[in-house]
Amino acid sequence: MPYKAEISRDNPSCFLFLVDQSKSMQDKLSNGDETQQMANGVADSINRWLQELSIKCAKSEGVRDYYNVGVIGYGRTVGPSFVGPLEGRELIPISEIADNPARVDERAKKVPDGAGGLVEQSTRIPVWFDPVANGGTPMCHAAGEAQRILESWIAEHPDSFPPIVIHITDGASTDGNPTELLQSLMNLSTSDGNVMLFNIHLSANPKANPVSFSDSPDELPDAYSKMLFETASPLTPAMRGLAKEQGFDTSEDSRCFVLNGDMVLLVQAIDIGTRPSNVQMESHRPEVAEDLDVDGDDEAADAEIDERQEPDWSGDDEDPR
Amino acid sequence: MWICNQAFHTPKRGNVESEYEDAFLPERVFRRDLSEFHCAVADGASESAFSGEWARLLARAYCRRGVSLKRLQRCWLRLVTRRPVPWYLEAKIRRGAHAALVGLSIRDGQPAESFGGSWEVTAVGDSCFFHVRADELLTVAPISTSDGFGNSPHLISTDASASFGLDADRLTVVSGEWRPRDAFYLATDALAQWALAEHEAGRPPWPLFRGLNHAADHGRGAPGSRSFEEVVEELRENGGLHNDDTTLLRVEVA
Repeated sequence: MPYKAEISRDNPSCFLFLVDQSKSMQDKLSNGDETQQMANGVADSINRWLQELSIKCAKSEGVRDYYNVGVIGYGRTVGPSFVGPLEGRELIPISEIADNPARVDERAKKVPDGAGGLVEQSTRIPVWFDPVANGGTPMCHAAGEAQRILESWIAEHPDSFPPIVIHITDGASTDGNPTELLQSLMNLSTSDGNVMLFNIHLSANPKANPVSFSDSPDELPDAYSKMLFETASPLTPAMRGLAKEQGFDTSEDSRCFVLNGDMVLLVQAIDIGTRPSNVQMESHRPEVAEDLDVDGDDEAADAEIDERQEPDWSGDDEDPR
Repeated sequence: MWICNQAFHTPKRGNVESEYEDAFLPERVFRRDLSEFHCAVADGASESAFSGEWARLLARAYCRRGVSLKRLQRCWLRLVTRRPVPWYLEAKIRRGAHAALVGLSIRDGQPAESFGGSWEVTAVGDSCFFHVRADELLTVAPISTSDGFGNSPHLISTDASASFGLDADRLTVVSGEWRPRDAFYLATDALAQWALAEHEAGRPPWPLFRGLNHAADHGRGAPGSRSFEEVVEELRENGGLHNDDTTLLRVEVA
């Protein structure tokens, strides 16, 4: 069965973003926020996703390298697009990403105070990737770069959970038809399955109605959408399960293809595209217990069970592990 | 009553000892005459940070008795915020840690009663309790079949805002009577699930559990006894034991 490999530090997986940074990414989405350029929305989404993945892999001793992540931009140039200390690097262990954002912005956020009100809390927002929009759309060149990067990664990780490519574009390749190159990318495989290609098409075309995980190209508005549908991987059963949880109808023919979601849908789509590979990593997805026990709420006695001090154990009981 | 207590543990394969996130108490092997005995096993959820610390606090608090959950939550927060932490741990701490807990209390009977006494078990989540007499399983809680272990167990959270009121639905409390020579086992989810599957298949795991010793003690145990570490490694390889932190606490009473 494909897509079952356990993801561990010895056997990590890989995410590669291919991001259109052409001039047309300055456009607004036909159905989205009229003030937001697509490039800004994409940068926000990728930064948020990197933040989430870092937090997910964080343990008390630091971030565990369950993943390598790369962001390849294509527009005026084609290449790795991290800014700051990671500039110029292709696939980077998630621990290095977490420890090396270009900057950490402070933002105030309102959070529930537990008593029905809201309280302002300062949160730190790391940034690795800035919006860029200039030049043409060298999609073929970008697909070739992705092929080279993933071939090399797979050679070093032949039994890993297969890499997942998240390709975000407004569609019109300016250096030829990328169909065969994108298909060739999907034909790469580890012993656990083929590379998954997730195409997210952002369109300023007024006829582009939002479409998520379509199972047919018939309703798509233009040749660009159709090409991106045809080159997207089929949704795996795990992805279909997640899509259903988030309210999307899918069928066995559904593809990893999203047209013109707003930025909320973009984040959802990235989540659906990337989360199934975390399933093996997590042995628990907890619900929350309401209470355990017991009597007494003596603040002065806190110290007795506070690990900064030696607890007062009677008998020979040692500290638990 | 005489209590003979021994705990066994091993981290998930691929992890080192310091990454082990279960907890158990008492830790030391002992054989002692007591009128009351408390022990616990807890399992910190792998996707939280500092969940091993939370599991240790829960196990301690169970054995210490009379410690409120709110107080424990404050202890955890103080413990994990003693030093400045990077942005990702700050965010992770804000999301809290989670753990399963199973605690067992055994009491000696009144002098007027015949041999034996009472026990009570308290459990939240998927760590399990087994009461065994003459290699026969009498009671198992809180999960009673091997297919009852899912990916979303109900766990105890460090998040104070999510933890008001006693929620009887979430807490399993079971009690019963013991007789001399009975055995009790507390196990975290992977081993508990394996033990139940073996029991269901007509291959009681209790003789194996009864004979376990530590690798370091190997050769000094009873004839036929095997080391926990060796058994777990073998079961992970061939016996369907899920690769996870694995803990077993064995209590024999007489």
